[in-house]
Amino acid sequence: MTSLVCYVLAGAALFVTGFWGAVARSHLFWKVLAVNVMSGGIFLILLAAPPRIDPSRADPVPQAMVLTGIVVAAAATAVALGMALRVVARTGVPRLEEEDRGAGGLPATAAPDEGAG
Amino acid sequence: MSDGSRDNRARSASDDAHAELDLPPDRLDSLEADSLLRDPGAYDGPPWLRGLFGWTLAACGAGLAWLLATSPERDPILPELVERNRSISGVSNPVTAVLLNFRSWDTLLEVAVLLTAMTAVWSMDRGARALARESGEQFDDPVLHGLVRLVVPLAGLVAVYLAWVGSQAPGGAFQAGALLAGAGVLLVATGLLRPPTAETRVVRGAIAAGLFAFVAVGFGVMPWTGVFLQYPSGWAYPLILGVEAVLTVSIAVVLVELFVDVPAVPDHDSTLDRLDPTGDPLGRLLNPDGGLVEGKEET
Repeated sequence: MTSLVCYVLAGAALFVTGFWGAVARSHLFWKVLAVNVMSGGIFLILLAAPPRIDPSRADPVPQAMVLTGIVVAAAATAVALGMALRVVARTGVPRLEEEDRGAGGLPATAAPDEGAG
Repeated sequence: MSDGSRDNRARSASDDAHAELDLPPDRLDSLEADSLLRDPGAYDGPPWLRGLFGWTLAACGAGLAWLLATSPERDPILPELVERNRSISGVSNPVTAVLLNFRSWDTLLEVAVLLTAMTAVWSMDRGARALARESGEQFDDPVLHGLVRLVVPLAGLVAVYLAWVGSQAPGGAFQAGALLAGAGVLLVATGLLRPPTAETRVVRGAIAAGLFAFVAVGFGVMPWTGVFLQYPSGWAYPLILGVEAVLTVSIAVVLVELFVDVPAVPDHDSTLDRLDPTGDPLGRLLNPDGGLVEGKEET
């Protein structure tokens, strides 16, 4: 049972980490990556948290859901990356610009300085 | 030699693209593949907001972990239901029983999601074309070729086994499809296989086949059972196996296609010529043909 708790805790940590990345990172590809980390955490929780008959075997229903989820997540990632590429193609920067940052946006290399200031 | 001339043509076209884009050069430079991936897009809001968000998120995570870790023991209702009905499901692997019998409706919709995603990627049409550019160009690396020739048939064999064994043990259409897709991506990336395109009838057929076979089975059983996707007794195993076989191929083709993401481009479309020839997988970002075309339309 203790190892299952470890999985659940790791899942929660992954979810929160991904959430942080999805919100705090402006780079679109990193956002897509972060959402994938979030979904990894959710899959982990879905497998580890539900009650079991035999502790060594996960509930088949969440297992089937996770299998479905992985495929859907992969497909959604492909769509999201395609849209991110479209944003790059149209605006020249891999992020969604804030209105007050000017129409031109900023070079990717200037972003860290901004964050420090 | 033909390669060289192609490179030159593409390079000059790429320079034209730079000029036509009318962007400051430093902005284009900032799109170099390196900085694209190394710079995660640092947070650039006020520091207090960052701190507030970080600590709130950490608290939420801790709360979530605490709730999950201390949640009371419940009776395993669902696994017991599955266990009790497994004998009539036609397969002995409970996960496959759930996927393709008890909750086959969900799986059907998932295959529909795959088809939708494929359509969405195709309709964006100006996505990654790095691999399309590589088609026909093989890497002359004996080690790589040896490895690919060893791994791909093995992956095919294991995929067939996984699809087959799914009815009794862990395995099934998704695992087998993912494995086949891995082999396919390997073949495309090493230039041994022409990347499939939306133009190819076989590819389109294979991609749609999963959903159509599933729906056909769903309706096909209705004269006997009267319920969509309710298999007649005794027929569950062959039907599940058949659906799994079609799904395996369909999922594999969709995944390869999503990965190589080759849009339908007619031969005369010059946008392909504008691709950056440097060979960097992210080089395509330097040539935003989509932006170029639409920018022209706006002005």
